Amino acid sequence: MTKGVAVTGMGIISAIGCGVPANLAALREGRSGIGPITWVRTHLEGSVRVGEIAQNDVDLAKQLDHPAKGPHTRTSLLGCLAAEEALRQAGLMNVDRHALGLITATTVGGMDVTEKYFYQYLTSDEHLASIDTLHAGHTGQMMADHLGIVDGFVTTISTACSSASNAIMLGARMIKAGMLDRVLVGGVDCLSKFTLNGFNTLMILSASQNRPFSDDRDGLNLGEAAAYLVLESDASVKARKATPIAYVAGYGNANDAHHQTASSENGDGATAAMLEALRTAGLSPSEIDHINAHGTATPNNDLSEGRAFMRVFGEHVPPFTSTKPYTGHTLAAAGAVEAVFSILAMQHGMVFPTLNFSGGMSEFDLRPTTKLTDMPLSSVLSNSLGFGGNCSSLIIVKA
Amino acid sequence: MMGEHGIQSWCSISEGRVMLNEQLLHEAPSPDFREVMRSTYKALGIEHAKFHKMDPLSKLAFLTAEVILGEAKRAGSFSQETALVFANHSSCIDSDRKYQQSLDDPGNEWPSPAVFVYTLPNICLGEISIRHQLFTESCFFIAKEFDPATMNRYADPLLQAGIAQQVLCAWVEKNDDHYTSFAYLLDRADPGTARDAMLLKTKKEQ
Amino acid sequence: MSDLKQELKNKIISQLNLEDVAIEDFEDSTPLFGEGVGLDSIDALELIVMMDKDYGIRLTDPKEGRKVFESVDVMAAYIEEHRTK
Repeated sequence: MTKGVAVTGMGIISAIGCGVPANLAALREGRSGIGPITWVRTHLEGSVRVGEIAQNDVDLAKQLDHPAKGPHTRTSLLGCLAAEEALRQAGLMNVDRHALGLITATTVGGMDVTEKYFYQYLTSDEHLASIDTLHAGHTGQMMADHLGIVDGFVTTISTACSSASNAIMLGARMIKAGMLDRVLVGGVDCLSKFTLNGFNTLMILSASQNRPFSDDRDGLNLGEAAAYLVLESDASVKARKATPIAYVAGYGNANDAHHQTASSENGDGATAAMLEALRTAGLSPSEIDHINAHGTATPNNDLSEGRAFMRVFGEHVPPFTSTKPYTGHTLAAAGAVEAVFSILAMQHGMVFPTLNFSGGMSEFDLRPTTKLTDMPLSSVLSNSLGFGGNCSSLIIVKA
Repeated sequence: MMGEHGIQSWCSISEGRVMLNEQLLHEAPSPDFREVMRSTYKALGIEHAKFHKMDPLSKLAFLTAEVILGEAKRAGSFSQETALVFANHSSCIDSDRKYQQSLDDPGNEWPSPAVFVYTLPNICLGEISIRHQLFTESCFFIAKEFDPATMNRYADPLLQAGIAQQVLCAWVEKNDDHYTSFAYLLDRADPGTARDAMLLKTKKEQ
Repeated sequence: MSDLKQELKNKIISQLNLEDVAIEDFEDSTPLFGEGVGLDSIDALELIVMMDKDYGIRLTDPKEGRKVFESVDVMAAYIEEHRTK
C-alpha cells in the first residue's frame, strides 16, 4: 500500500447539480444552491432556506440507468443516482458485482415517505407497505438491489453528520485489511419535515444564507444530497488497469464527550479526530495543503472547530473553506459530498471559496478562503463533526 | 467466527433481568421497561441527573455500559481508551415516533427539541462517552440482527492497531414494548482465550 | 402570581423530566441554570416552546431566553407582562 486506499470513481447529486461536472461548474462559478423550499410541505416554507435538489422524485427516477423497482424513497433514489455515477466513472457498470461491497449512511432513511402517511397508517391499509422504507437499512438494501450487489458486504452506518465519513473510513480499513477488494462508500439524506422542524426547535437554522466563520453567522441551512466513492485495493486496480483519481490516506474518529448536540469549547473531539487522521496517514500538519471544514456556520461549531484547527496546526493553519454555503448541511451525506469536493479541488488545483463571508470572527485571526484560488494541492483534510459528539476526519491525497 | 481478542466480561438487560457474566445482578419488580430502568438505576447507585432526560434507547445503552464498565472500574481493568461499537435493528424508532407525534398532532404542532435531540441512534454513544469521559472512536450500525462476527470485524483492527485498548461491543434494541441489550468487552491485552461466538449468541437469546 | 409560580414549578419538573426534584426542593428565586436547579441548553429550548405553547410568548433569541429563565420569579414576572394566552 503506497499513498493510501485508491479511489477509482465518484458520484454526487446535490443542490448545486446532478453529477460531478455540474457540481464542479457551480463550485468554480460561486453559484450557491441555497434557496426556498419547494418539495417538502412545511409551515417553515417561507422562513427557512435550504439546499434542495432541483428534481422531484419522478424526475429523479427517470434519470436512473435502468428503472427503479420496488418501494423507493427520495433517499434511495438519490443514493442510486450518485452510486451509478461513481460506478460508471470507475468502469464498473458491467462488471460482475460479486466482489463489490456497499457501506452507506443515512439518518433520514425513508422518513420523507413515512412522515407523509404517519396518521393514515392508523386508519387505512393503503400505504402500510411504505412503513418498511423507514428503516435505515432499507435504503441500503434498495440501493444494493438496484445496483445488482447480490451477495457482497452491505451495511448502514448512522452516526449523524459524520456518517458518510465513517462509511469511507470503514471501507478503507476493510480494503487495507484484505476483507474487501472493492467497495462503494458514502451517504445520502433528503430533506424532510422531521429534520427541518427539529433543527428549527434547536434554534440553529439561519434566517437567511449560512455564512461560515463569519462573526455575524447565525446558523445553518439544511441540504439534501447523495455522494459515493468507489474504493479499491491495489490488486484490484492493477488487475482491472483502473486509474485512481485520489487516495484515502488517513482517517480518525473520536468522541467529543461534551453534549448531545453542541461541541466542546475547544473542539476536543475534532482535535483528536484530526490528529488521528494525521497519524494514520503518516503526515505531519505542515503536509496538509487545505482543509474542507465542517463549517456549518452555527455560532458553536465554527468557534469550536476553529480552535481545534489552531490546536492541531498551531500558527500555520492551511487555507480552509466550508462548502456548506453551496450545498447546505447535507447531514449523513456531508462527509462524502465534501470528500468529492476535496478530490475536485486537488484534481483542478484550486481552493473553492467560502461564500457569503461577511467579516472575520472576533475570537481569533483565522479567516477562510473567500475567493476561488488557484493552488496546487496534494493533500486535503476534511472534517465532519456529528451530533452525539461523533467527530470524523479524513485525509485524501492526490493521485 | 470469534474475534482474535479476549472477552473480559459480558452483560445483558432483558425481560427485567440484569445479568453480568454468569450472575444475576438485579431483577426488576416487573419487566416493564420504565420499571426496569428506574430500579436498575437505583440498584446501581448511580447519580447522574441527566439520565432522567434521556430517551429509552439511551437509558438502556447507558445502563448497559454502566454495568459492564462499572465492573471494570471496580476490578481495576477499566481503560480510558475504550472504543464503542454498537448496533441495533430499530435505530431510535421510539424517539422518532414520539417526535413525529409532537410535530404532527393536527392543530397542536409543537415539535419538542428535547425529543428531537434523541432522534439519532448514536446519541447514546455520546451519553456514554460523557459519563465515562471517553474521547475514543465510536460507531453505530443498523443491522437486521445481532451479529458478533460483524462487530468483531470492526473491533479487532482497532485493538490490533492500538487505536483502542478495549472495545465495548453492544446490541441495544428498543422498539415500543420490546427491549433487549447485550454487551461484551474486548481487551487488547488478552491474547485470545475467546469464547465462541455461538456461545455468546446463545447467552444473548436466553 | 403565586399560582403561576406553582404552575411553572410543576411544569419545569414534569416537562423537563427532573425526576429526583420535588416542588419543595427549590425556591422561586433559585437560579434555574448552572448550580441551582441544573437546567441545560436543551432545557432552555424546551422552555422556549412552553412559553409559546402555553402563554403565547414567542422568544426568538436563545440569549434573551436565558435572561427570562433566570428563576421562577423572573419567569413569572415576564409571563405576567407579556402573555397573550
